[in-house]
Amino acid sequence: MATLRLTLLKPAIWLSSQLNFALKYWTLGLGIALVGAYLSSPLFHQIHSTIALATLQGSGVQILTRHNQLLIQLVNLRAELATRESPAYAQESGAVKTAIEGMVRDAKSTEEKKLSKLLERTWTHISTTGTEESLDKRFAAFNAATHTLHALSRETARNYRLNLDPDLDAAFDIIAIYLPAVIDSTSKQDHVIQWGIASMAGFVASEQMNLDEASSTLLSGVNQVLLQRNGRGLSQSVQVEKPKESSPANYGSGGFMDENLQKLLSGLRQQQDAVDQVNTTTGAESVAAKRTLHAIAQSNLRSAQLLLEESTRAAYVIIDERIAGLKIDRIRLIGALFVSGFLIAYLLYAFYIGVIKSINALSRGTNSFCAGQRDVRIKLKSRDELSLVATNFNTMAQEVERLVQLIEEQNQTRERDLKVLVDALGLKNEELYTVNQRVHEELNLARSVQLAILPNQFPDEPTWAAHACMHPARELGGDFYDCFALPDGRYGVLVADVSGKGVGAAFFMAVSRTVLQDSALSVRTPSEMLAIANDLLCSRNPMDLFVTACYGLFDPKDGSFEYASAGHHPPMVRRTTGSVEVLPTTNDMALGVLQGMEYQEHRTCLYSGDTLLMYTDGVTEAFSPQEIAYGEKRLLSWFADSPTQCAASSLVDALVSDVARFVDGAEASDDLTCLILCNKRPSEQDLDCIV
Amino acid sequence: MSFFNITRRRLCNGVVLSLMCTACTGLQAQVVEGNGIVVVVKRGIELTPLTTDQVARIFLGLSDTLPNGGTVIPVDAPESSVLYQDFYSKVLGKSVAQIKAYRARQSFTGAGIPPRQIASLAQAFKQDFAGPTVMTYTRKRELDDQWSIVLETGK
Repeated sequence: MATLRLTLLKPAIWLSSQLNFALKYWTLGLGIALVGAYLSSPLFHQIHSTIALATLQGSGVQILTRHNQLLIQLVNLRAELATRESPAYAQESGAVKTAIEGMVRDAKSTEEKKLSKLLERTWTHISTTGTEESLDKRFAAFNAATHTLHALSRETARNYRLNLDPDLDAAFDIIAIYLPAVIDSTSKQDHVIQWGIASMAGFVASEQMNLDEASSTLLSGVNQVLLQRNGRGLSQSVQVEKPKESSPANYGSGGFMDENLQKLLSGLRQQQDAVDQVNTTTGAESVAAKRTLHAIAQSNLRSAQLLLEESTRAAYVIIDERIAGLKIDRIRLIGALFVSGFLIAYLLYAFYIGVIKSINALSRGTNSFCAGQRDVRIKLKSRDELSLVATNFNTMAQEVERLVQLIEEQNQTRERDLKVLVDALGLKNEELYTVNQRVHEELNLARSVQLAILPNQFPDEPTWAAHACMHPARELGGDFYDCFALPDGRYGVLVADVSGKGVGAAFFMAVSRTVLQDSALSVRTPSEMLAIANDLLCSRNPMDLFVTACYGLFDPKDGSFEYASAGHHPPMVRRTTGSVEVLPTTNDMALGVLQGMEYQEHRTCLYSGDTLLMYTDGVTEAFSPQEIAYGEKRLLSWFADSPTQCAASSLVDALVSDVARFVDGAEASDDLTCLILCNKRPSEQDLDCIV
Repeated sequence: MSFFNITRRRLCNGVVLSLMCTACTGLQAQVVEGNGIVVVVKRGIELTPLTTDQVARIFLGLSDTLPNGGTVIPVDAPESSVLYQDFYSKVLGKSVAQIKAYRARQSFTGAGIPPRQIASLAQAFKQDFAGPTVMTYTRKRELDDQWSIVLETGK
């Protein structure tokens, strides 16, 4: 169920997530306004339609008023049939013609058009009929006109009577049917009798029956329209245009109408008596009766006209009251909508302000807390969910404040402890620094001593030269070299590498160099020298160190070079042809490992221009920053490309520089030692050297 | 309620007149040979032949519309003439007295205007009626080529 609810609410939840509070409340207000407008629009439409219908009914009353005016004109003209040549007759005829043309023009329904056309044709017949026609035929033509006009009025009343108000419908019947019939019948009776139309005399008495029936209907209709409305009082407000001539002074009171109605009803009864008197008398009595009838008929005609005008005014009043009532209803509806809209807007705006106020208080409190004011607490006066947020915030802030205080106290304690430790460490550091300085100085001194025990003067004869160098990886190195003259005129050259590094290796290097030099002076061959030195080092090696070495004897007289290797890299020779030879060696044991070892001896010749290279693994195992070893191959390549006519010292420096470029500042992994021996003898002085 | 009574009375009159018209239909064969009466309109008016009932409604003032939609004005012979008597008695089946009473009621109530009475066919032709079609009747032997027959009631 909850899932279904969430699914249904998903669009609204999404919309809510996209809007800020102002837009949310605007959207809500707009939605309410649209719903209100949608719901109230049928009411407005109903009121508007009803006003339009009432206005239409007012138009109907106006049309009927014109019909009744035309009826009275026709009745007047009918009364003057005998004197139709008078100016008044001609003037009234013109007015009638204009009125009928207007009716033809204004007719809307098919029946109205048909009847108005018939009326026009009838009037044409009347106006074109001269005195050559008999009086009864001319009278008949007028009767046809009034008869058609009655039918037209009934049709108009049927079209405009919208059954909205029974009183108004009754007024329509009075205006359109009953009073016009009374006016026509009353005058017609009088005219027939006054002119003595014998053919129609029989219908006069029967017409009285019609008048009696019209009288009773008229009485009930007027009672409904006027007398009942008198109880509520007729309104004086007039919104529909009304004929000015139909404004009796006491209009609206209802009393005048009632008086006229009673007078008319009484007159109609008197007219009946007068008609009977005419029909039952002869001679002078008959003439007097006709005169009396004429007077009564004229009085009734005036009463009917006044009642017609009053009824018309009453119909206008009913319509005005209805329109006014509808307009008041519309104003009330607009007012209700406006008040409702104002109240909704007021409430929404107040809600918005309340929420924003709470949110601002929460935001300010949060910002202050984040800025370090941990004693900030949020107090909201509202009782909504935001107050719960504020309460949670306050609880959290209180807990955070407590924890921060705890942490601060712990920090202070630890800072104090740390300060004590730092102070102690400072003292230790000073001591260590002092010791380090002393060690460093001693190491530098040892380095100086180590370098000092290595020869720094090398033979540089016209026929040959030698040069060597040693670069320790640390303060003290384990590599060493030597170049010394022997009593038989030969020169011994030595390159050695003590295992390990540091102080121990340096001491063992000093011991080894002494042993090797002493051994070289006591024997004649390199192999014997290495064997003796091995035995001596094995007996003086408490730390189980060992030494790899390559020792050779160079004889400047014939250029021969005898050598032996104790686990060391083989020497290389670059010939004058540019080729580089790696001299053959035997994998003999390093010195200081096992006593009684024997070493193989080799011999080669260094001819004019040949160069000998002896080195330690500090050259081939120098590593670049990319952890690539310099390697034997690179060394062979450098040796082959090195200048042939250069001094030994230059070659040593060149090799050291090439290795330094290769390692590019990387920390040296091992001591670097190399020795170069060049045979500078010219080729024509080359001696025969036998290998 | 007077209006409704008046209407009811007029409706009764209409029913009576309709019955009269129906009776007239059976009288066509009674017209004397060679002295027959024809109902005519001016030549040039396209009009299909009318029935006796249609002619009766026009001359009794119950209708002024022709089948072609035009308006018609009936014209009577003089009331004192034999033609008048023959037309109403032999064509419509009513005596002169009955027609007179009917005309009087019609005139008083305004239900219609009695037709004009013209002495001769030639005089009827000269009548200047703007618009509506003039319809009258005459002896067939007196008919000239200015008229078209819309109803022939005898040989």
